[in-house]
Amino acid sequence: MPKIENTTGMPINLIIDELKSDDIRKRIHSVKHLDLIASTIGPERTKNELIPFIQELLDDDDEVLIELVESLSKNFIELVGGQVQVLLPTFEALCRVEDAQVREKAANQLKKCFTMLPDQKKVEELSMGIIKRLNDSDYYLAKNAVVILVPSIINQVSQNNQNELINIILKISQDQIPQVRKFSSMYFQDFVKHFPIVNEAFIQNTLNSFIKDEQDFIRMYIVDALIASSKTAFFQKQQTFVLNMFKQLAEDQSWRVRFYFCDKLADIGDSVGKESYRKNFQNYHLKFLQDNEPEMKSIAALKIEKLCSFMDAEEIMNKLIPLLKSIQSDQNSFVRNSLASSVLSLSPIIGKKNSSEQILPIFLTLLKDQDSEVRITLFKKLSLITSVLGVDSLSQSVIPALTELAQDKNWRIRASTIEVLSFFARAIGPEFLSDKVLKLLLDWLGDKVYAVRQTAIQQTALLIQILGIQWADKNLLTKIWGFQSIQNYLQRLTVLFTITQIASSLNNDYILKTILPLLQQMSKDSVANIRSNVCKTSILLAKEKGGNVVEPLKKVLQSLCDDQDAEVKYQAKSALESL
Amino acid sequence: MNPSKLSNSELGNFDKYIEDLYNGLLLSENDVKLMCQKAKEILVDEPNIVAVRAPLTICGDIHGQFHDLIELFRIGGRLPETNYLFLGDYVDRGSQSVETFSLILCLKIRYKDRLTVLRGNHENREINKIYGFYDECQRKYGNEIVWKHFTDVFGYLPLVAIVENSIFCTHGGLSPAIETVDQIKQLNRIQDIPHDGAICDLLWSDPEETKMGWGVSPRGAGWTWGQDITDKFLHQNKLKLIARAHQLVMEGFQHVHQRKTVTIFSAPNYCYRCGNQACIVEVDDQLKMSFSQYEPAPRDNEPQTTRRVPEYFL
Repeated sequence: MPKIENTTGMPINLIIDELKSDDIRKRIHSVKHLDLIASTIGPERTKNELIPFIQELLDDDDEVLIELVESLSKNFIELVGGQVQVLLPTFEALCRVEDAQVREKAANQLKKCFTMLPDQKKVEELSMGIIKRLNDSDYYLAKNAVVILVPSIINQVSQNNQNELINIILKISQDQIPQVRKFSSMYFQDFVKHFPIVNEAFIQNTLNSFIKDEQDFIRMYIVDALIASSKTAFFQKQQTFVLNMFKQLAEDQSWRVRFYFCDKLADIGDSVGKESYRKNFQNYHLKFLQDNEPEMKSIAALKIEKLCSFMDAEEIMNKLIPLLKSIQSDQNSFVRNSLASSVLSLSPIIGKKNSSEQILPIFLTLLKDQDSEVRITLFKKLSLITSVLGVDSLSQSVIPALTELAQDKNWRIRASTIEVLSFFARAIGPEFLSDKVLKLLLDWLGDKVYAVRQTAIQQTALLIQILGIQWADKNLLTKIWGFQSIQNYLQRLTVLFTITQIASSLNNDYILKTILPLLQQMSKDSVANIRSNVCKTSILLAKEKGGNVVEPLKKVLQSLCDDQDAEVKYQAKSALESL
Repeated sequence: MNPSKLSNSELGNFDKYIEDLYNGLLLSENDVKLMCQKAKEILVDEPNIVAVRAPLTICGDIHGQFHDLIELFRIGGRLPETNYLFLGDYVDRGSQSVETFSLILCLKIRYKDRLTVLRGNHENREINKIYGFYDECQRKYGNEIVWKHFTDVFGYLPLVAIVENSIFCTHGGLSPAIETVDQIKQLNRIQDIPHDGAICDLLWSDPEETKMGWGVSPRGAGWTWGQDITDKFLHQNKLKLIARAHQLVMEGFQHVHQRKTVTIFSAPNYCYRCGNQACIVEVDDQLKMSFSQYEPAPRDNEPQTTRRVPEYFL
């Protein structure tokens, strides 16, 4: 039985009162803490008073209802002392609201409750009752919950009830209102799992009626149903039917349906098996790469990463790669971006020679793409090609591209580029951080824009974690400590921020030998902000490291206790007091 | 007692307000009342002319563009590490004047020695009742009490800052009623901005690029002043430069009067349509100036420029 701590700073009675407040913000706050209320008043009062009261909240704004269903989903089954039944009416009512998110959550909570009712007959009785009431409701959106609940209990009820449920789903799939038919299409994948309770003829007839539907968002979800069916015995019996229907969807006139199909193509391949995929669907993927709709080219390019495992090297070389030449120069940057994220995954499959001849040219073209996002996406996948071609051959082309990105006018591009460094450090190791690259890092640490400098400092800390303090000391840190004599005080601050960020990687000897003199020097800086940060850094190091650094750091703080700047003086004094 | 004159728990409170404000949350009505009270206590001790030390970063109009104020802090760094001087016009026109002015006030209260906050012509009841601040307060708080708290503070904001006895900083510019800096010290600033006179001129005037002497301002308040006036004023008061805001400039900053007057504007793409850059000016301890231009921050809820599969709903 969870005992929840009151961390709201408000007495329980006030929280309870505010459930009825005129101010929606207060109602939301109280609803968020329903579990606290329930835990405080105990299961009996929760059952008898709180739950009935919540029924009155059901007319409230969607904003409140979203919070309500969240709150009730937390641990209310425990909070009502395990008496799951008590919660059912509330969740049933929440299945009838306008907000789709609330309906779906409430329906899923009902599913959970059903699994927790001990008595099987009770489950049948209660669930059938709820389903029928929601189905018969005037409010058509209530059928959303029906299609979610039916698959969860159909295998646990009597033959008669099963027939009734199948009939309900049939009617929903033929409903006049397209949105209602959409519900049944979306969740048909859960329904077909119950083959053969749900028989062959029914599945076929329903799918046939879906595929003839004039609304593309209804045809779309057939893909999921077919994938689900292929994991059942239905697939063995009706392979041709399933494959043909997949093909119809791949050739659908609406690009949204083709898009959805392509998006799931890897799952389809897994379901039908590699042989069948190659025979029946590979060509569609290749066709999509030449589709008129840019969205189609984009999704097809994106899926290369997953789908290439179904292809052999020959086919990739002869059929796939020729199509990529036009994609790499597509006028839509999101298409090129999709290509950038997946083209390098072809490299390990086709081997070194072919990668060098076929992939490298595409890589170099994308490296110079006018859209910086494309270049950065490419960088993130770099390890795939370096593992095949080796770092050295690529560093000649990668480093100039990095250098160009590092000087981009847009500071956000400069900042994202820095993050690529730790990718390389992890994938390739310290060899990547040559003099040229280290110079880039130092430039970033000295960037005009504060946010870029901060990202560079964080990356420095990451690099030290990956490559070790010895490497850093030899190659990088001394140069950073040199910033202490830069004229611009904002750049001098980088020294202190860096020390703070890398503190966990430093040992006490290093601190005594190198950091302490820095702090002593900077404690005499002419700018108060620097001296202020010397206090902050000193106290942080003293607390985190302890041992023989504490006394010398205390001395630094003491020297600042008479500072002419009031803020510095106060910081030094309070730092010493806290030690 | 720490220099901000806040008790330990008040310090904690203001740290929390600042954190919430950085995240775009609004303070409650009670917190606004408390904040305005504290602000007045601090500002009443400041003279009409604040003497400011370099190094620091000077910023122009913000006009309620809160996301761009956060962008400004990403470019220039945060308080208290970076020192700032704001030249006024925090409210009106943009859609988040409340968040903007709340954050600036809280930062002033918490780090009063690192931040100087001057008054702009929009920090005045009459004008911000029309140009958006009043309406925004009504919308966000449901009453005009919060607006009253804020506007009570405006009068306390100082009018001028002088950096290292060299750079004369104010929102608008010069006044025919002011020949020496000492004359500004005599003014009583804690009032609504008068329709004419020295205080009005300081907050409303504009430099005139080509003509000499004083001119009638097209704004209907303040004047225009020519290079000869600048030269005379700087010479008489042993100053080197006039730094001001008040006017939209496409590059975020603009030198006139043979670089003796500079306009700084820190609201990029002003009113969400002017397409201008913004600028902040970093002044080092040798009074060397470095101009950092920037664009509007990307907004989270802006529609994606590329097509994606939309959620299909009837």
